[in-house]
Amino acid sequence: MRKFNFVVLFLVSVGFATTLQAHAMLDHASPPVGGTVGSSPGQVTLYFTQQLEPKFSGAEVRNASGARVDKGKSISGNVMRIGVGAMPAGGYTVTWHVLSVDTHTTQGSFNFRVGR
Amino acid sequence: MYLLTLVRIVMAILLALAISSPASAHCIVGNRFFPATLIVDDPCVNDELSLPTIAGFKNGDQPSADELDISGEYSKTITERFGVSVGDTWVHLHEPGDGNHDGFDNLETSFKYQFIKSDAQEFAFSAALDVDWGGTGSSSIGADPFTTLTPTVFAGKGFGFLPESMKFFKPFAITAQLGYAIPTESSTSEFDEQTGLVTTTDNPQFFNWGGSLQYSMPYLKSSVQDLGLPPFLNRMVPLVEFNLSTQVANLNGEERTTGTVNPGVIYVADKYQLGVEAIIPVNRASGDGVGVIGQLHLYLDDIFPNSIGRPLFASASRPSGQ
Repeated sequence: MRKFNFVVLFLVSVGFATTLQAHAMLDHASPPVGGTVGSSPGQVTLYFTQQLEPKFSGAEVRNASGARVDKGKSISGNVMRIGVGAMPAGGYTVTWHVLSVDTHTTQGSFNFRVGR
Repeated sequence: MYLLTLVRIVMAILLALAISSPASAHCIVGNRFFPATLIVDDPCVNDELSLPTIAGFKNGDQPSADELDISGEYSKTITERFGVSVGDTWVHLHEPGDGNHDGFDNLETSFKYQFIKSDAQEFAFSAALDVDWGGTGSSSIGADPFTTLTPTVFAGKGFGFLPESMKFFKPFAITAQLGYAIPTESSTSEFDEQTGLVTTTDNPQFFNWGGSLQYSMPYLKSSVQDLGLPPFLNRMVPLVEFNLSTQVANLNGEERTTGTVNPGVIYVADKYQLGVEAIIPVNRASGDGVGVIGQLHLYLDDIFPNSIGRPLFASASRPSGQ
């Protein structure tokens, strides 16, 4: 009976849940995480699992020598676009940090390559 | 007993009524997400609910009894670094020649502090005082009549530091849990109705040691290489847990080390996770044959981000924008 009470009361509490958001995690990217693209992509696009707060979200792209090559960002909903201009062949690292609309922060990084 | 019932009901009501302030929680350390493991605890403080955890196995008694455990644990962050947990287990025993016994085990609480959370190192470290409250459980299922205090440390480390030449090993992570269990009574006396004698049993002090080795498919997809695998596979964390206890003082003459090894998998969704693992005893005193454990684990910080999913006391500051 005691366990029954606990379960029922918890389920009632779940039933009152209103705003259903979660941590914004990177769902996929273009160029893809760990992937290789034949030519400069023009921009790096990050797709997240949740809506983002643009003011508190950002990313930077660095080449193999550590120099930044990103040139501004735009965020719409759960998509972040980072301008990168012409990218010579080589390896690049994307480092991102985001704040989802429910105030959870997450961050991450990944590599991709330009050229064969 | 009424007091205990009241405590359990209040636990549930708190889930519905608690009101608090800003966000955090979840065991995310840089690129790394440490899921809530089923047997040992993760190295963070969180707002979470494990309900139910169901385990079925043959225990280490002689002869072995069929045991079914159904448990729940609620964890609440008080600040972003300090949290408390309350849990209990309902136990059903089927003992050969002695019929069925069931009841609640002792109430368990934990007071945990997060000392380190290094995003760059994918490293987390915390320490806790676990308390098993003697006399709050049913003697029919063998709940200890004495309280046990267990100072415990927890650590987790991701393998993201590995070079690119070993990139497919980067999703690996290990966690560890080390504790020292101190009974508040050195021995327990029991009256044996069959013999009419009083028997005294020493209550040993235990060194508890456990951990996990896990491979994060979400980490592989978001930080190493997106292989285009089905979404279901990209949410899997295959792992092996182990959890052992070794008598180190006031020995009672029984097997000194007991424990289990638990291979399994955790499915990580946005707001919950499902885990299932085998229970493999390391020796006969730990069990007889392979059992199974399953768990539904709810991320309360994601389900209730604006109420009970936040620390009771936390700064309202936001990270700087870019």
